[in-house]
Amino acid sequence: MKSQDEIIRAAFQYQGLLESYAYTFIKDWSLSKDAVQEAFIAANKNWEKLEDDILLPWLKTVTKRRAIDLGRKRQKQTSQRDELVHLVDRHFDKHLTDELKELQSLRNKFLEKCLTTINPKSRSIFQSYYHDRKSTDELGKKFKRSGNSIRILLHRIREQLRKCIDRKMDQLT
Amino acid sequence: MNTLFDKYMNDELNEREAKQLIEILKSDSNGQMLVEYIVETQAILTLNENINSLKIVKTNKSPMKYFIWPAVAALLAITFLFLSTHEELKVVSAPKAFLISNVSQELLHNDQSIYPGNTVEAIERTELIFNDKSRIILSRGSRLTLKSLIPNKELFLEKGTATFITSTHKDGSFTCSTEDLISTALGTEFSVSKFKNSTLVRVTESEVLVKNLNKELILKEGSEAIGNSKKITTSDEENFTYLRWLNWSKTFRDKPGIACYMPFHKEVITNLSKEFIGYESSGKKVDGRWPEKNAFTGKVTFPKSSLFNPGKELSLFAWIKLQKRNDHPPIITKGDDSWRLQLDGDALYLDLSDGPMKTDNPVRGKTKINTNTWYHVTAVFTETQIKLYLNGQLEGVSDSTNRNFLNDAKVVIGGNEHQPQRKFHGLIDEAAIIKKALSQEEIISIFKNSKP
Repeated sequence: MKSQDEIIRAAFQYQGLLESYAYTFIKDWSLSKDAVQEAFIAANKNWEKLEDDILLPWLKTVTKRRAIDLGRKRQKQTSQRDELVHLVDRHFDKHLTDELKELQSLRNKFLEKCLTTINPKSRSIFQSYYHDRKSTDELGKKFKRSGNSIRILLHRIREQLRKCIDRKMDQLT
Repeated sequence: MNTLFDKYMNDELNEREAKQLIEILKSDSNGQMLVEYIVETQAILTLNENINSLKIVKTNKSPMKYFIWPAVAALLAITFLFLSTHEELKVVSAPKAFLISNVSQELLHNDQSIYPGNTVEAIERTELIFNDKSRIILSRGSRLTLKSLIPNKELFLEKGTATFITSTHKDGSFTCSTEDLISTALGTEFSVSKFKNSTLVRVTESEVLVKNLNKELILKEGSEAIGNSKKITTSDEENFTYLRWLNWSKTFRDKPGIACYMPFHKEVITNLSKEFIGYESSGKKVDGRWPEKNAFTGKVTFPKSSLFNPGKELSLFAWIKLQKRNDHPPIITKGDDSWRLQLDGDALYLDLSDGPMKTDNPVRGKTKINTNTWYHVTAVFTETQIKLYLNGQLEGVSDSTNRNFLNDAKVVIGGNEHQPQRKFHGLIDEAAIIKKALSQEEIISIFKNSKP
């Protein structure tokens, strides 16, 4: 049987994936973090019941419940249709796996390197969007472009990043 | 499809687009793509929290200790992670510091606990201590937020200077981030100063790894680095002291109470004080403290202004390099019957008069001023004393309760309106007049940040 430390250490490995999962219910990254933290608190209380094979499904269930509760408490309403929520949930159920965790941990290592390949101006827009959480319209005003062209630029950067990461992954194999 | 994914992420789908996405997501491979897209977005967000940063990680001779013990300690401490009422960070000395939480602002008192999410704004020098005896010393005007305590101590320095003295036996790592950098250390002593567009890191003890997006380097004990997300310059590089001063100077000039601030480093002589007043200059720019950066020889005369009649407190400072000795070379004066900072023989001389031709307990420096050497000189008038500093160190002090700031003389840098024959034969750089009494800590900081 694993110790409490080992269980909690294993739980922390899923932090990023669980935050992504929580986001699908509340569309708020800060609340998603809180939801996952509460799931870890619960894991710390219930560690004796948690074994490797049930850890991830258990964390997913608790994270989902906490995310929905937090969304209600903070009156964070999303405009998503229930059908879409269930569909995305089903895909997460299937694809949020240990394999994805391993793959993502590898891709994250390349992500930082790949960001350095983006030209400085685009990087500045990219960072303002993802770091300062500025909207595309706000960025449009700042960089004297339309909100839509900022949106397209962000797409292109994401594509560029993905290709760069894929290239680096290919080099590994 | 990515546009739909983006709109989904931002909760911006309209009815038609939502239906379209539902159709798309009926395919398993598209669903997988969306999951990966959301996970990747989370990774980008996490990375972007660190991306503008220099990262500083103390290098350790024992990799086992470095990697395993912090992890074990962090995991053992997990019980305290969110539930603990155990107090971890306390105020040691807070004569005037505010605790600013999300909901309120209150004056800190000694032994008060600080929790993650709290911000401390130090009106005076403030010391904070962790349970493991690690300490943080905040300089006056600094603003620091405690982000978390476990598994790592994480802090955010918004402005000012924080010195971190970490205990040698502790296990968790120690992280201080600024808008420009993140610094993580174990068992070391270092300080972080946040300037307007950059951050300065000084390592007092041990070694530190400094990193930003483009560069990674190890800072040795006693060395410094200044940088932002794009560039890091270390104290080994030729232009380091100039860059350090330039960045510090940009922050300094915005401080309140500065009546005059003239760095002289550019081609045009400018008073960079926010409370700008005009002036006349007769003189020329010459090579200054750094190669190809200017200083000034000659004099700058300010018109009569209430800015220089500040009442109870005043400070003056300047960098000087004497080239030729003469009779009472003036540095900054307000005639002969208010205040004068000048040389007298081989030493500095500061006085404050209580009326025409009367001198009230002047202060004479102890150190001989050599020619062709740069010195930083500071004069401070408090309510009861006048003090003279040379290169940040106190040279002399005298009691002086008579104030006669309100004479009609003009303030002159490098001259004296009442004694026009007196001249400063040499260079003057970065002269300032401040309407408050600088503390020794501030004077040392000014000297350290501006020395060539």
